[in-house]
Amino acid sequence: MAPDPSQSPSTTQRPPGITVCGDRSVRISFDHDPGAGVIESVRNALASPPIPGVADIVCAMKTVSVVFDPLEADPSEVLGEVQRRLHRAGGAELKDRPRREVVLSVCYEPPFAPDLASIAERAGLGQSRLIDLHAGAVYTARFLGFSPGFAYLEGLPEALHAPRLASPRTLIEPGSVAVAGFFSGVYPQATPGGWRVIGRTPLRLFDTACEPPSLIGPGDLVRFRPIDGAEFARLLAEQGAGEGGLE
Amino acid sequence: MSGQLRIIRPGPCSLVQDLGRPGAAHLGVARSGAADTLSLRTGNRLVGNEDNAAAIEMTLAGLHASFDTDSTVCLSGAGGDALLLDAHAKAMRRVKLLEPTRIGAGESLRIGPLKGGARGYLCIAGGVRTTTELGSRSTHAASGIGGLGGRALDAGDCLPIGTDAARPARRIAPQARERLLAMPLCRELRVTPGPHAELFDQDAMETLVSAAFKVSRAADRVGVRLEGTKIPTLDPGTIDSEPMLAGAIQVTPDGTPIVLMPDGPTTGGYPVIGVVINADLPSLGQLRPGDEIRFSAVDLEAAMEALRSQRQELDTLCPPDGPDRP
Repeated sequence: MAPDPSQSPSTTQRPPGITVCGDRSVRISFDHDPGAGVIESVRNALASPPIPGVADIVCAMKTVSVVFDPLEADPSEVLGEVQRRLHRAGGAELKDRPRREVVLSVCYEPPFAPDLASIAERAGLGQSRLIDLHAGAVYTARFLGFSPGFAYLEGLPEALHAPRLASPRTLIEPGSVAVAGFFSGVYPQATPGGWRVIGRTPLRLFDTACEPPSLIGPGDLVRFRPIDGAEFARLLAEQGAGEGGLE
Repeated sequence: MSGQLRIIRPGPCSLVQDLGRPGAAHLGVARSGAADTLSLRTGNRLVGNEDNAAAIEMTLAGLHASFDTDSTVCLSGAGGDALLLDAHAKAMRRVKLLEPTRIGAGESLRIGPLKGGARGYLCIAGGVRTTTELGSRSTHAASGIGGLGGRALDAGDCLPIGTDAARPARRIAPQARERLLAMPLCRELRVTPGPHAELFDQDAMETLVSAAFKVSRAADRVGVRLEGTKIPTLDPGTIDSEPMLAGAIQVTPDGTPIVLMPDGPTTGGYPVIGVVINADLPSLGQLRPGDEIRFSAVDLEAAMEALRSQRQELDTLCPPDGPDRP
């Protein structure tokens, strides 16, 4: 589910709350959006060196979760270690880390863009102008969630901000490029979904035969490159000819 | 050595599962794994496997599968009438839960509808040996990974199986067997408080721990939707998407509680009123549509004690390293 678009990022820097959640995770929670850089520095401080017994570190917009095996690591010890590391990191922000840039070819033509017209109408802009805006922006993958390889992309121009569909579609085609609230995203698998679909990429977003399996990783920069239907078909065929292919 | 298991008749949702896929949640990949890990561990230990060996998880229905090689199997979790059939499909004998059974090449095992719980496990000495993806053989249907092409098993599917377990199979005493079968069948699930207390008033918390809830038909490996009692949330009823855990009790804006399961989303946007403790997740995995359940609140210390004593009991009744090697 997309965050409420009316909540804009705040610049106040209060330290996060750190609590044990369930009997197998430590939850680090900011009361404001601290920005991608702060979330990344929290993640890095917790990831290396690894905390014994910790299986997963999952980031979202304002929250980071450290999931551990409670028979391998005592919750109070993990809590203490997280507190120590974050105190040491002192709310530092990763600013200048080199970022991977991922360029996704997207066909914004009618069969792939069922919701482009409704967004254009909302915004009072032409569809081609909306495409220029969507493809002209640089996005940051804030976090992955919802389904494997689904990245919440921050940086959507305001004209494209739109609420989720009142009634989600029961099936969204893989590769569908969509928007909701202030996020854009690309559906890697065929799933139900409530975001508004404005295009489709022929690229495979998630494949465990690749390393890393997700085309977009947390923190990556993402751009969209408009292509026409013919190039979409060509790229799709090329991709299908790659390895084994999807089920 | 290896052989093959062939599915003659699958249940509607028979899946290859091991203990799951930790370490990929940051990519949006659910942990998956057996819904009742206690029963998977027990079945694996009895055929001499490591706890994490992959088995077939059956849901509500049984299945019929043949073996092309001599093998040892053990059924655990919820059971149905199980028969060992010879190569001409003639019944040879009954197969009981938690009793390791030799199967000869060409013979087959036919399991009827499951009773008492939702999930049964067919554990095989040497384990199911499908390809590991992201470190696990567990099937995650939503991402199409694990098992065979990330999907439920189908008639005609052939699964590679090992034939050599780490240790010999062993039997357990009848009392131990009864207790092991009962362990994952609690109908009162213990919870620790969730992280979004500010979105629930005192009434909501009291409702959670005093009311009875019914498991609806919308109960699968992603989540279990509960009905019968609504839990009121305060405005706005949603949160910024944040990391989620199996066992988290999400409350939708209309007050419906949904308990997340092993294939649940890694992030979610509904507030969490409580989280089912680790020790009670196996019981959560055995809930059937129509079951009535209750929740009780415990603190972290009690949750940890419950988990430690549960594992100790399992290790006593059915030790992980089994009898000494000959």
